[in-house]
Amino acid sequence: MAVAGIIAPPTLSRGGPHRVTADGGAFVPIGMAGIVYNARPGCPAFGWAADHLEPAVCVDAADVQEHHALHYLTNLGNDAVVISGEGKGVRGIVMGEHARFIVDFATADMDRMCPGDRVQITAWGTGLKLLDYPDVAVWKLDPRLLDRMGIEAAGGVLRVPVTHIVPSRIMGSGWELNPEYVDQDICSNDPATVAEFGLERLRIGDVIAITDADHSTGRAYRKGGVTIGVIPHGNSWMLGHGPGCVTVLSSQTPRLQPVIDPGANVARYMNCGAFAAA
Amino acid sequence: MVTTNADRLIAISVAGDIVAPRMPGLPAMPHIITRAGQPVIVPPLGGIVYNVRVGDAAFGWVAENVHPGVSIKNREDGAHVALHTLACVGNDAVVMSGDARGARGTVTGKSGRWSEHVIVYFPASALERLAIGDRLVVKATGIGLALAGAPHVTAKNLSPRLLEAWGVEQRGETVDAPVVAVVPPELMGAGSGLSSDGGVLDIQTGDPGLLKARGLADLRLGDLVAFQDCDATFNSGYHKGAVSVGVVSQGDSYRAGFGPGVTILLTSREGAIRPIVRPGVNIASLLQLS
Repeated sequence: MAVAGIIAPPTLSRGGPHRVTADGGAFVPIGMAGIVYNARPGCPAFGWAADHLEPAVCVDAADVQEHHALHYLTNLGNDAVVISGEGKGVRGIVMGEHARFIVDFATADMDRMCPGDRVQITAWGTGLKLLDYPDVAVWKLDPRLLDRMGIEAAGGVLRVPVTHIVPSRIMGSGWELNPEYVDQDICSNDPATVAEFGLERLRIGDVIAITDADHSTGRAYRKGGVTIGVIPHGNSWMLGHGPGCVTVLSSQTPRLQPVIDPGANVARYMNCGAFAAA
Repeated sequence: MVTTNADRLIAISVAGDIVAPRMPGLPAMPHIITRAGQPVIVPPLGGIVYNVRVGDAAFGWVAENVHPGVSIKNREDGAHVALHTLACVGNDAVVMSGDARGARGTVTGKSGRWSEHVIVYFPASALERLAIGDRLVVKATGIGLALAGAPHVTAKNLSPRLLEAWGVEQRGETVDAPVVAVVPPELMGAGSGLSSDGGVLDIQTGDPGLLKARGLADLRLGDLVAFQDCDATFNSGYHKGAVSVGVVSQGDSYRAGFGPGVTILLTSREGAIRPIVRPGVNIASLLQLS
């Protein structure tokens, strides 16, 4: 079904826009909302002079209930189309969920778009189930994207290509939310932890695994649980924050088996973003 | 003993009103979904709770994140943030309106994102005379509290009164902080990535075996606990080697990722806090709340 929002304008606080870094420094938040012209899904998650970089185009709805319908019904891989303004008719693909949806459009098309323009999404995927694996929860996946993730059934387990495997204990902001609504950040403030798990090589759109994590009813530590997620946004300077992770699959048992594949990225799977054909 | 700048801290009025419990509007589905996926209807946090006090068990109540005693907030946004940020555990609160006018209580903790209450202890005799909407003033003192010889230790939400009663000892640039238990990093839950100036960091309670193994199964409201590998200097979050210590302010939760909420009191990214585990380290006895 159709849901709609607008290209969300970036906003800052009056009276001093700064936020505090994990080290007690200050920064002006840039990277969230609006149209980001020079970064698209598939780009590196680290190294930008930006906080929580949301690449390409950000879509949100101002009305609270429409905002929640947008968030509960929209899934990664869904089709989007601009329905007002100079860019009317151009098409994009939903690539991530943060406080807003990250929607990839061709770079040339972004030049024809403006904050406030309306974007409609063909929401499809909420309620998706794996009929042969009832103990695997599915969240936020367009069925077409699920088909392209290279998941293989082998001996009762589902082998899922991922770029990184991280433990539940390094997950941060987002415990208080649910897989149905917004992502959870990986804590990246500790350089030793970043190095230990190779986080600096993360790309936006990467598919990753979280071990000892059960995201089937909310988000929780659970020994043996495995959760698969997708990175929607870039790194953050704030304590307890970092690259996000949108929950897409979760099991309370080792039913999901991550297999390292450096190419596991949803922008690559959907031939868009940094991996779009030139 | 630790040397502090307590004599340079000011005490300032912040005010709040006793909040009514709040439930979702129509459609009439006031359930929360448990970590097992079951809908339940239980009392939400807030209001005046007559039969749960600081010092009682943190687990087992049929309630979501129960707040012992009285919960307050300020309906004016800026004044509310000031109340929630500046009030410190151990501060005095005085009832300024209603039948209990003049009754004195003590701040015992806070709650986190969305509710943002300050939780106040009152003796049972005062609770009976308090009403929802009554105005309290908190004599807020503690923000800016510094431990002179421990530059890598930051105090948060901590009144000089509680620090003095707590029995924290300085060893070089490290402090020994008495606690009842140490929470392993995998049990850090809701509150991670959110403000530690106000707010709480929850102990996840979905793994009873791990709670028992770590001495967390019998936590009491008001207990002091440490989080291993947790920095809470600016927000709370995982940082290997860091240590944070706080007070159990709220009861257990039914929800995944939630559990007893802990108001952070001391934190050190450099790990300059050594938790000293011993039974019975609880603000009810430290602050003589009975």
